[in-house]
Amino acid sequence: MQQKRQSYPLLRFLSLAIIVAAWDLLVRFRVYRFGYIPSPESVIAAGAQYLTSNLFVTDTLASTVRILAAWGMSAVIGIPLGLMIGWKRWFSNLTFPVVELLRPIPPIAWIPAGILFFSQIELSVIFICFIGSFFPIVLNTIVGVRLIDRTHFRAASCLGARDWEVFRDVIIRGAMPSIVVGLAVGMGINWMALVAAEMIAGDRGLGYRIWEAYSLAQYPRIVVAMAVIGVIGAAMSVVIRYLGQKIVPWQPSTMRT
Amino acid sequence: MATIDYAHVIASAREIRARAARWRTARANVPGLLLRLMSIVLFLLVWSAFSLLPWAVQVPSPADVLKAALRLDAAEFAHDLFLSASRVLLGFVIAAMVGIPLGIVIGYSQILRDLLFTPIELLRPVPPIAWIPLAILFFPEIDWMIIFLTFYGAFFPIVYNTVAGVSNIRATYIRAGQSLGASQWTLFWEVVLPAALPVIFTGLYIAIGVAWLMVVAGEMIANKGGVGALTWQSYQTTQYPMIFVGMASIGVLGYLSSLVVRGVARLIIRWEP
Repeated sequence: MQQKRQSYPLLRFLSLAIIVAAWDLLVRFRVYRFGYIPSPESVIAAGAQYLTSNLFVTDTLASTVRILAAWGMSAVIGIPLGLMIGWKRWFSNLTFPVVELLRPIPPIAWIPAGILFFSQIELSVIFICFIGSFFPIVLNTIVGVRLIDRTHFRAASCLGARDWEVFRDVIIRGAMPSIVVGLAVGMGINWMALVAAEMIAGDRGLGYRIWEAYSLAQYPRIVVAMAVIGVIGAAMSVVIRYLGQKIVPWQPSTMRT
Repeated sequence: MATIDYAHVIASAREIRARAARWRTARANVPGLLLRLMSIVLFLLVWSAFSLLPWAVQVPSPADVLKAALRLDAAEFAHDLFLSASRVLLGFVIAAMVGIPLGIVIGYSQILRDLLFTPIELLRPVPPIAWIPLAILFFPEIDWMIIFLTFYGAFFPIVYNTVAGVSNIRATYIRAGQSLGASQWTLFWEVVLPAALPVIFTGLYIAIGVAWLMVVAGEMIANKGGVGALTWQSYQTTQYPMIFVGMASIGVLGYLSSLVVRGVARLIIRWEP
């Protein structure tokens, strides 16, 4: 079953055409409650209007900055933390219980607390996204360190490596493939958290635009903003995958998020 | 004449040695356990200290949170927990019932993969939470709106992992089955499914987490019933300690349900460590 099978681009196109046609017909004939859903034409019209407006630029910029800030912060804090937890038993005992305690709380549940902690909207949104990407990054880093072949450590010791040399050459490099996976997964959850945070607590950004469009009954714009989020999210994960390949060229490209 | 039961002596000597070894490892673990305990204590201390800071007066201390939890109306709280858990369960079960067969079919046939997987791949980058407004428009009842959201969130990890599990089976397994004369049907039940199940369960494990995330988001927005609404209403009515009670109960329920999924996986998949 592993051999590559023939894929039919025409079939893929047909599949999408059927979906769009079904969507259009269901909305047009108001089947069940599809009458409340915006039609494909109205979405295209709203898209043409929104994508050429200034709002689109400012929303995209606001959301992207928040995502990158939160993601960068959780990488800067999460990767060293995960490396240390994976490496030193005492450090793991000291910090991992707290990580395990907080991990089952989904980032969305942090929204009220985030608003409480930070009076500024900007910071609370970034904080909620940070929570979203922090745990996958830490956990994948720990797993990465724990999966390093024990012989690498022994080899390093035999060659007279000091502690920090083991850290630099064995731990960091060995955990790298898993860290890249954590970064990719974290980015995905980051977008979830961003949309929720902006919907509930935001003042601008793509998630906020979805919610505003809903409250103002500009329903087609909801779908436009969803599509924009999807495209930017997909583009970011492509970039992460590409960079991951550059950073860990020795790892086969079977990264699944 | 007393005979010595050598087997018994050896067994009891082994038992004593094993007990001693257990005791040694337990003693060696004591500093570790202490550190772990200290970790939680330190966390609570830092949190308490943080809540005393002048610019964080709104942040309740752990003691405030505990007090709020004790003052809780048990019946109402239990109802909220039950409501959230049943929404998660329903969405999750529907997602598994739709997602696993769909994933198997997609993993099996390239034609169906082109037809069915293309829209799924296209929709996946859109975070499920972004569907909330459309779900509100489509479902007049809050319950079904939230169940749809949990279903939708859980659906993607289940389908993706099932497809991966089915399509990454080693070709030698299939060929071995075929050369032993297995029919398509036997091949599926005896080879494909057992090989794919561990991956499918990974998908279910991820999915139950996403389902909890979705239920909290849906309940916060709908603001009517469930732990998500409890947390959000506590914020709105400035009962700040209750926010943390809500968060903790979400965490506990989420944790318990992933334990259940893992337990079921262990029960079913005995052939994999």
